[in-house]
Amino acid sequence: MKLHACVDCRAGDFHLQADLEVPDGTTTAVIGPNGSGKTTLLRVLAGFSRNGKGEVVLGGQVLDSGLGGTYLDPPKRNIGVVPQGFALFENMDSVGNVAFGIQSTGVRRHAARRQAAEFLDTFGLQELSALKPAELSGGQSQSIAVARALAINPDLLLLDEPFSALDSAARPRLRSQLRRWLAEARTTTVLVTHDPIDALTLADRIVVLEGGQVVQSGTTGEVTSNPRSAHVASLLGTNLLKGAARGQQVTVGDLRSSASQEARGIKLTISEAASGEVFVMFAPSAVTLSVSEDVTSARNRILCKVDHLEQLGERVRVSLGGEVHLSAEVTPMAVAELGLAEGSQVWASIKATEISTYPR
Amino acid sequence: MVAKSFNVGDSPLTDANPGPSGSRPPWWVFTLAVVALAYVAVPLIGLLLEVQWRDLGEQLSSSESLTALRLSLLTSVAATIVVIIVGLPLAWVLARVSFPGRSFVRSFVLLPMVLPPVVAGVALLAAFGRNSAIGGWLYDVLGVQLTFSPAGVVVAQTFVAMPFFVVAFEAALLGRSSQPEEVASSLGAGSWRVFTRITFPAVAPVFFAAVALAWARALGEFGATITFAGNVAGRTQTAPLGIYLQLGTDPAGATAMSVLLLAISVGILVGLRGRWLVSR
Repeated sequence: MKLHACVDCRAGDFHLQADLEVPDGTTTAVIGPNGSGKTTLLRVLAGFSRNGKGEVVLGGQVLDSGLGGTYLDPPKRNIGVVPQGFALFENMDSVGNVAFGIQSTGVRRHAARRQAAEFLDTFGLQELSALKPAELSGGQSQSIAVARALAINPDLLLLDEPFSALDSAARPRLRSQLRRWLAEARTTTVLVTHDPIDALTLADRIVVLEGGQVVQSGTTGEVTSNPRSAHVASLLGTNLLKGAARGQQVTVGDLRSSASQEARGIKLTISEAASGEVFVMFAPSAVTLSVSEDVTSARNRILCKVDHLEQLGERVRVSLGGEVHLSAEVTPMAVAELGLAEGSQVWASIKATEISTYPR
Repeated sequence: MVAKSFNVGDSPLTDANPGPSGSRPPWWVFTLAVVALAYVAVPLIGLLLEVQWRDLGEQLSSSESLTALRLSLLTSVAATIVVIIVGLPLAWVLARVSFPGRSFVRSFVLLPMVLPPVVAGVALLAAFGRNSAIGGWLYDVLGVQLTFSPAGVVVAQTFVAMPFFVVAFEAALLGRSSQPEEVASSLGAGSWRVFTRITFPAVAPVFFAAVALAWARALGEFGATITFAGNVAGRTQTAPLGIYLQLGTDPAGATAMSVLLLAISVGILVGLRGRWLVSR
């Protein structure tokens, strides 16, 4: 079922204001830094918290129309919830956990347990049936929690950081398993995550929350090819600056810089002409470093100071400070040849053809 | 042979959580600790030495003792049931519902724990005595008189026992995340089903411990009972009251009943071990 939610609620100083549109049978990932309101948004959708104003509509039914209006209790909404940490019922085995929701629909205990056992079979989880939550691994707990939520055949599935409690070795397998289940269930899903890989592999659309506001939303392709926030850029590991373009010249500054700082900012040459306020994006691998100014043919040079060096696989990621913050990816050999260390001065060069711009 | 790898955690220089093993106190700390232990032990040993074990059964089965014991049992069980019926919702509300003045209510509920029981009795008299507004109404309209009646004993015992249950049970609820309850409600369970299937099974051990504590307190209640309900043999004379009275006339009988109450207390302690009173 299609979800349409205008969430607007306050908790203390925090103000969450987010519109969410999830087409029927698709998955939307909500990403954003800690404290951006992701979990609050899920709580309002589930009915654990009330919406301040605005409507939450699922498949044409109004679930919450804000304070003083309609409000359906969680048991009256048909929404499957997988909370962070999974919250399995400790006193029941896996079958009991899955049967709980089936029993709530009025099915007798014995029949519900049989249905739940069959349900676990179809998920390939039959060997976990008789185990209590304390006997399950993190990944197994996640599987049971997802099965428990899907067993009620929900109109909407809410997943809150489904992988954060799991060790990284188990994630790829569980991610593809969850991907398969979501595809089979064809349930409208909202997934909260801070891991871009979750969003890219599981979601059709991405909503980026920052400080309680939606800073970007669109299909995964749109969001990743044109990030519009520092958070998404850093998740994607790319450089994102803002600038003012005039033909093939763009004056850039940090995302957080003021307009006047930006005007005095660094001028870069771009290959495709643009105009007006733009985002400026380029990959760290497109940044070349040198100690003297005229070693490379790239026309865009910025004098920077090395803030931090970090080994990433076979490359070294160099975080650069100065008038703008950049990151560059170079080989360990280059680090040695240039004698890079925290605090050393370098010239960062970016080829015009490697820079993409898009309107702000 | 290469030396085994050395883990920092293997032998900490200072132990953040010193266990019972290995710590050796200065002699005076040790001495004072023994004195404290003796404070508890000596009177109890004295009581046990005083008991005429051979006549114990006979003394306990004297009609006076039996009546007092039976009344004690009935009233304390009734009081415990009242405590559960109203105290459980109170503990739940205090733990799970946020409302203005909650911390005030929380400390207020504890008041009977620190209030001198005789003051509790006086307060109950002022509220429910024959000459009070509520007590007068109860008597005139319903024909119920609490003072000098077993019902009054139950009222007094409930008053002093309630906080023991509420405090323990609320702590258990507070120590739990409400996530499983929320998930259960999203799965279609109403609040009653959520409580009986999810919350209660998880906190049942503490529930029973809290019930035992409240019952023990009700069983031993003296000051509030004698002040509010009086000391009428067969009607309000519970075991503690009986012991106090018998001490003048029949010390052996008083000792016998005391040892029985002591046995019940020990039984409760043993039952609570590893539940509420966590053993290290």
